[in-house]
Amino acid sequence: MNALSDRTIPLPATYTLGDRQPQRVVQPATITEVGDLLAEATHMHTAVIPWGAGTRQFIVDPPRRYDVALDLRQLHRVIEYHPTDLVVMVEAGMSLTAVQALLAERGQWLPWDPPAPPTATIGGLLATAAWGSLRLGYGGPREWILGMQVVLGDGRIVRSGGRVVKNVAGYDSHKLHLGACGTLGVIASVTFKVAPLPAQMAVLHATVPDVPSAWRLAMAMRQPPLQPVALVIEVADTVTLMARFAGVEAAVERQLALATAACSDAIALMTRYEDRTLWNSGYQMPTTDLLLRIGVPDSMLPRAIDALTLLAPARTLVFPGLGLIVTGCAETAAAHLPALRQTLGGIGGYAVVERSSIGVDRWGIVPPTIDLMRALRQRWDPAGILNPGRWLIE
Amino acid sequence: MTMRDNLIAALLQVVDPSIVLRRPEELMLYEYDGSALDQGMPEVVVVPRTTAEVAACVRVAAQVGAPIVARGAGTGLAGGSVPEQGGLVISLARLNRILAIDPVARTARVQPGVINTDLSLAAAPYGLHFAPDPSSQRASTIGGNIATNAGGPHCLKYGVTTNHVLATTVVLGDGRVIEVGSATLDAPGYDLLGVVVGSEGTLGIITEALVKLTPNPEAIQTFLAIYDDLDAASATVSAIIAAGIIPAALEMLVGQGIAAVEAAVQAGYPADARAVLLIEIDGLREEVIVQAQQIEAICRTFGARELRAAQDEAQRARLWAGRKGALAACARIAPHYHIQDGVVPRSRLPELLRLTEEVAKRHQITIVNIFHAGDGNLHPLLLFDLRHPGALDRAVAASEEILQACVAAGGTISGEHGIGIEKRDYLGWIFGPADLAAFADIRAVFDAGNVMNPCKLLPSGSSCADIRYARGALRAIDRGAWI
Ligand SMILES: Cc1cc2nc3c(=O)[nH]c(=O)nc-3n(C[C@H](O)[C@H](O)[C@H](O)COP(=O)(O)OP(=O)(O)OC[C@H]3O[C@@H](n4cnc5c(N)ncnc54)[C@H](O)[C@@H]3O)c2cc1C
Ligand SMILES: Cc1cc2nc3c(=O)[nH]c(=O)nc-3n(C[C@H](O)[C@H](O)[C@H](O)COP(=O)(O)OP(=O)(O)OC[C@H]3O[C@@H](n4cnc5c(N)ncnc54)[C@H](O)[C@@H]3O)c2cc1C
Repeated sequence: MNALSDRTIPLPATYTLGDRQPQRVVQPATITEVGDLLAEATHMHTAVIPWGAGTRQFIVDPPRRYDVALDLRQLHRVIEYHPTDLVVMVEAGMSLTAVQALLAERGQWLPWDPPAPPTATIGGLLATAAWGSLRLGYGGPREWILGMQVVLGDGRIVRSGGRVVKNVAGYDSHKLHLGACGTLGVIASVTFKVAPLPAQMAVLHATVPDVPSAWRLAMAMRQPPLQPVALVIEVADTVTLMARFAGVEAAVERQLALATAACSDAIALMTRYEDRTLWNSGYQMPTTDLLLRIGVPDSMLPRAIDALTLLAPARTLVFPGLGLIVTGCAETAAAHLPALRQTLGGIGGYAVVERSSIGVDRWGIVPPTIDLMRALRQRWDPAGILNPGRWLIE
Repeated sequence: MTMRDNLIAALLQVVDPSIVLRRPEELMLYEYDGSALDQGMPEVVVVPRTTAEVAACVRVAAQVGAPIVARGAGTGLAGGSVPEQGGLVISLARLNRILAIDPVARTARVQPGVINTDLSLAAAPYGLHFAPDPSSQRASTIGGNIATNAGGPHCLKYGVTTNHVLATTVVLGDGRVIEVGSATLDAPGYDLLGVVVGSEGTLGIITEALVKLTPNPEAIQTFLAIYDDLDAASATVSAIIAAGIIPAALEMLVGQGIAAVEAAVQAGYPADARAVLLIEIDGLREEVIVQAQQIEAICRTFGARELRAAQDEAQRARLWAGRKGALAACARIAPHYHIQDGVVPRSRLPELLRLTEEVAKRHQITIVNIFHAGDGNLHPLLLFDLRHPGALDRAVAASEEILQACVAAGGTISGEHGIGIEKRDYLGWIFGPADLAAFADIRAVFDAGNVMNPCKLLPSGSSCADIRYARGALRAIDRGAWI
């Protein structure tokens, strides 16, 4: 490997994955350099691990081979920001926190609140399809991306989408890289549509007796005119429901009043107006050894919660309206995974292991279209150098 | 036996003869789409009633080597459903059932031939609607909307079709039936649905879809703002967005079109205005009240001659009738048209509108702009009379000049109508060879046999070099059509 020898930095242990260390860590300063590096890696069959802030490398398996850690944090520029057009284009090594700070100066934001550390990069967050509770009201990042520049596994630098809010030219290939965990290419720059910050935001926390009452409350909260932008049920020692409202002051006020009235069987109730620019998701991810992400059709959430009791989870976050659950359990609960997966499979759902220290089957199911996915990876990363052995499409 | 004979014989072996159309007078209906410039006669048309029949037809055509073109309602404006190379047209018109509406999950499962408005009508009893509202919504199909990633006036606030599709069943070029996307979010794997939406029938044929339904807003307010100055109207558009308001719709009509619309529809648009804006806001009633005040202030600051607020649903309908009747109305100006679909950043609208006027003058054709101003999505409607020598060449030259200006302004060549035949050779203006090669990779993965709508959407490369599509006679606009 010769490409970018001057971009090689000393080898800190922080890039260790499982029991493997890379031979070197490269920090490219330009997208062209990423292209050169991947082209050479494809030629030499050296395994490359794209590295954002390294906050979420645990959600995929340690690599089968590990030659280069490709640290993208030097790709952290704002390429263009046009507040009046509501469009921003940034390099993927920039942190989401930095992007939000930039937008907030102009009264704008990306309504995207993944529960990530402040250092997490745009590229890493998109590669892991990170989302937060605001997805209920605003959709996930998929709905806010206008275009992307990607360095494919073989070093080709390609674009899709555009820089305007509406565009149907070409395939929307950028969507393929969302949640692909860097197995098709390295996300290099991203163009987002952004939104004006709402005039007012408020949150309601209701502690309720049990899960069924939380679910009933969540259903009531979704009846017009209520339109919460976020809804989370947290099941731990107590059961709480969190609802967020955003919009013009009077509309938020009316919704809070209606929501409060709906909370008649709440044990405790708290409402609070929030600082629009110091936004965070308002909940903590479980810190247990075993972390699961579960998806079911939305109406099946109560059944999925029931099925989870088998694993005796320490803390569970349920997202009504999205059909998603994140749950943290003791490592021993992994023994019940097959049974859980069977139940979930029966209702159109899945359980993915996001974190585990023992070797468990992360996916449980194989998508029926996996041959198409493999064929795609074969075309864009023909030597299989990106994150080998780490993700569903190995 | 010719390929056509082979194809017919093979089809008759696998499907009911009643779904196979082959008489010239039957085929003629499938020669065109809504674009004026493209034309091609299919060799055979099938109108299947099930996914299995679609798959059977595809398998047969692929074996014979016939190109396969999916067709919804044929309202497309880019030649996407025109069988320029002959072959098999698969019409989804009979796959037109709404299979289920789930008011709690706010989803609908539909067959692709369902007409856009019919879905919203069926969802209305639950206080829901299908948000993508292309102006062709009374004719175009959900399958066609998904295949073109259609937009519409209200996608400014609610997003385009891709934001409202959860899953589709797709018949691939080898006859395999796959499901992309899911009622369950974030299932493991690549987001194949993301590329199927907007693929204009080149990756496969959509035979079923699960789409999202959107709750109807509590309150709606519609305004007509009237301007004597074009730049003032454009500046209003930018100022509304800059004020942090995302209207439900923000449409603009410019120049000669206004008088034509008024003459045809009597929507109350002043015939002498230089520009009118149709502004709609919706949401919770408090939101609408606050935004209405802001919009009134902005329109006055930027010099609107007059601002009319619809007082009731009838007045609102009348204001929209003007917008919706625009294309038909403009047919009164000249017998033939060609419509473009470029997009620019909103802030560049004034210069693009001025350029359009200048181009029209230089090429001696009439251009009317009736468009989605809030998105920066222009629809220059080029009007001309083919009986005048050189009219078509001048129209094409003018159209290309405008599109190039959109690209130069940081925009794109199509905001919603698609690439199809019409714009495939302009794709190189916005994408480089590496980008196009990556698109071709996607296509090869889905359709290794290259039978699905071949040569559409991507530039006519070497494999398509022998195709010269017929620039057929342009047709007059159907009365009642609207853009
Ligand atoms: C304990 C914990 C739990 C979490 N749980 C969740 C959760 O359940 N849901 C959620 O939404 N978020 C969750 N997060 C947030 C998570 O931190 C972010 O998704 C993460 O920060 C990604 O950003 P990164 O820059 O650190 O990426 P990294 O951790 O460095 O990389 C993550 C993956 O993306 C790849 N990658 C990185 N950059 C690129 C690029 N530019 N192009 C292509 N591939 C790239 C890497 O190879 C790797 O496979 C959690 C965080 C923590 C600490
Ligand atoms: C008056 C008028 C106004 C219009 N206004 C708008 C507008 O506001 N916004 C907008 O976006 N468009 C607009 N259009 C363009 C057109 O209506 C849309 O592109 C529409 O989505 C096409 O739907 P269709 O059913 O007519 O599809 P067709 O024209 O039949 O097909 C369009 C493309 O989709 C493919 N296709 C169709 N069905 C399927 C399927 N089931 N599976 C796979 N591929 C398929 C075809 O092969 C073709 O490439 C307008 C057109 C007219 C004539």
